[in-house]
Amino acid sequence: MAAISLERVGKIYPGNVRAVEGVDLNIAHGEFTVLVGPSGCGKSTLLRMIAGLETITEGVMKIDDLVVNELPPQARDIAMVFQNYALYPHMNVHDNMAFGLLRRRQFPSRLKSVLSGAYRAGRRAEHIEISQKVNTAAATLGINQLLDRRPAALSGGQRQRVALGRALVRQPKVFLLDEPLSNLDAKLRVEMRAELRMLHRRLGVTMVYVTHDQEEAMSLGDRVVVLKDGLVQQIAAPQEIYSKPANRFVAEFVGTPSMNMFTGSLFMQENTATFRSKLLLLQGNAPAWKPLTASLPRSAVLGIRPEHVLLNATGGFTATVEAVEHYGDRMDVVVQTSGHRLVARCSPDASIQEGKSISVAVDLTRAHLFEQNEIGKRMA
Amino acid sequence: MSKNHGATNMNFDSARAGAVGGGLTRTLSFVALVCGTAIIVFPLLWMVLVSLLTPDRAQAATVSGDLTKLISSDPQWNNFPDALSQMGSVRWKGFFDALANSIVVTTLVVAGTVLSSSLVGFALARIRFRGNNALFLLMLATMMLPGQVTMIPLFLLFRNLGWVDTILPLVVPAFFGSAFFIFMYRQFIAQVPEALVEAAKVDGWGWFGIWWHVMLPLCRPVTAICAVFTFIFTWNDFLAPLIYLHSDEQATLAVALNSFRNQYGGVNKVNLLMAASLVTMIPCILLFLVAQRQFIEGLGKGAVKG
Repeated sequence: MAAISLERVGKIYPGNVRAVEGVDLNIAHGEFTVLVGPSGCGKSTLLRMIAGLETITEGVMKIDDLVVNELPPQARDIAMVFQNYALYPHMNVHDNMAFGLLRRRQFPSRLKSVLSGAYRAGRRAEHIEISQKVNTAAATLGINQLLDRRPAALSGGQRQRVALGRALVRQPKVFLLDEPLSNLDAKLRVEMRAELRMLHRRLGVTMVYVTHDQEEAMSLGDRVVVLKDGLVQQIAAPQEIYSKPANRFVAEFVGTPSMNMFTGSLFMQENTATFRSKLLLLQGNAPAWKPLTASLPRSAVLGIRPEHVLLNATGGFTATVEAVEHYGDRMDVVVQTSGHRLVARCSPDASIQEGKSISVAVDLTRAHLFEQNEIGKRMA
Repeated sequence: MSKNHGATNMNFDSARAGAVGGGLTRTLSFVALVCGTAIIVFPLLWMVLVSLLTPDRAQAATVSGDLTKLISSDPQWNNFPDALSQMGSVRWKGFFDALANSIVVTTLVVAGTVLSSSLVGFALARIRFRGNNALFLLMLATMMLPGQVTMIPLFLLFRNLGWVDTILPLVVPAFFGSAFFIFMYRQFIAQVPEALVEAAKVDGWGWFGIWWHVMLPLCRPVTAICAVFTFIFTWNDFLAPLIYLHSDEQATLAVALNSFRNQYGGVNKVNLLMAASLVTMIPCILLFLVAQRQFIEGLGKGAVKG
């Protein structure tokens, strides 16, 4: 296991293209950290910098207090699972997994063992040891019966396990996983997610996982790092990311369906904090809003998660039901009024019909407030 | 006549016309192919027939051009051992020396070309360094140089090194790569996913290990083409062995065959010459039969990974 420390780490490509900028991140021993963000946010670049496959342009990276900026991948004691698995097509599963274990002795010691006649015996013992490690790792992943097959004869899920096994067998300090589940179907992805969690719990290794799927990020990580345009937006545990997003981007990116946003103004009215937008008029002394009262009035953006939008409630506004999406265990309802669309989530038993009018309200205590500017930093 | 019947008659007539036209085209194509094949196969057939004749009939067929002399009711199979035993100054030794030299030179040249060209092609395709493209273009430009231009400078170089009358001038240059095959390997390797190289790096391998364990096995199609082409060229190469190999003991089969021709002069023993030439050709014919798919693919596709 190893701790990884990134201090102001950045990557600048020719033409002053800043793929990653000023990343400060400390990953503890045995932690499962997920890097998540939309395509092009720099998460894969950051992972590749940890692996040593991309050079670090700015900042310092340490693995177990050793500065690794100039170290090649071979010297970092890391293992990586690639998005397309990168299995060697000309080797069978056993050889794919054993490849990283083949000992590359220095020439003088190899020459000495050749001259002393111990070479063949040494090689045989080495191969037996490697086979044992491969068999153990294969048993952990349930792929013993596949050891003689070539990658072309494997399904997507099997290839993914072999790729994991290839990383596992080396017992590295750090596991790096670059969207390993993205090529699997939805059902298999959910199964493999659970297996990855169990594997992490069993091995206790440091894992850094990259995904663009925020659901995957929330379900897997001990901590989640949200990135956008090469910049870190928030680093926190999944629940904190969900319940206290640091800015509008994180609020809208995390959670399905996305958080509903209302642009308006926040002011005091009769000693009560009031938010007014085209659709909403909210009043109440929510504890979270109290620190803001001194700075009012100001413009703000109010965010509310779909599950906190109340349907058939009193004291709200009237909207038309545009669409109802049934998911078995829940129902998402899209309502529209005055050209503004929002999504509500309710129980599957609610009797809501498309095209009908419905009254809509929001739970003030669950509302989030963000600054009304480009960054949209969280206010409350 | 109804419209339908008219339509049916029209369809039948056009189909019949199509069938007749198609048959004529097929016949003409067949005739053209047979004629072409006959023209190409005839010299080989002539060699086989002459190699089984007596000296008198062979001389008559060669000088007078009388094709009836080619067919003999009494094939002289002993021409083959007679020809091979008379190569060189010592009976049988000349042939076996030449055969051994050809095998050694060809094997080393094939191995050298494959290893060096694949290594350089891999470096040009996968290693990022300043001047990569310029170096690649410069290497391609050397393909425009005719061999005759570098013949004399190379001879002077090898003479100064003391390598004349050894196989070193034939073998050593092969280990420095061949521009054409470097190009083929580079183009092929450029299409291999980068992730495989990265996975090998993460697995702890350096560039040489990645080349030997990952890239070279994946380049089997290009390696087959490179090996086949190089084998045929080197086995049949006459000019370089003629320039650098002076003694009988060092001669390859191509040079020994030429000495045989000079030794017996003109068309005196043309039947033995043809017999010896056929034996020299056998490895290339066998190789083509075994590797013909790669051979034809190499001519047609340029070894692009499919």
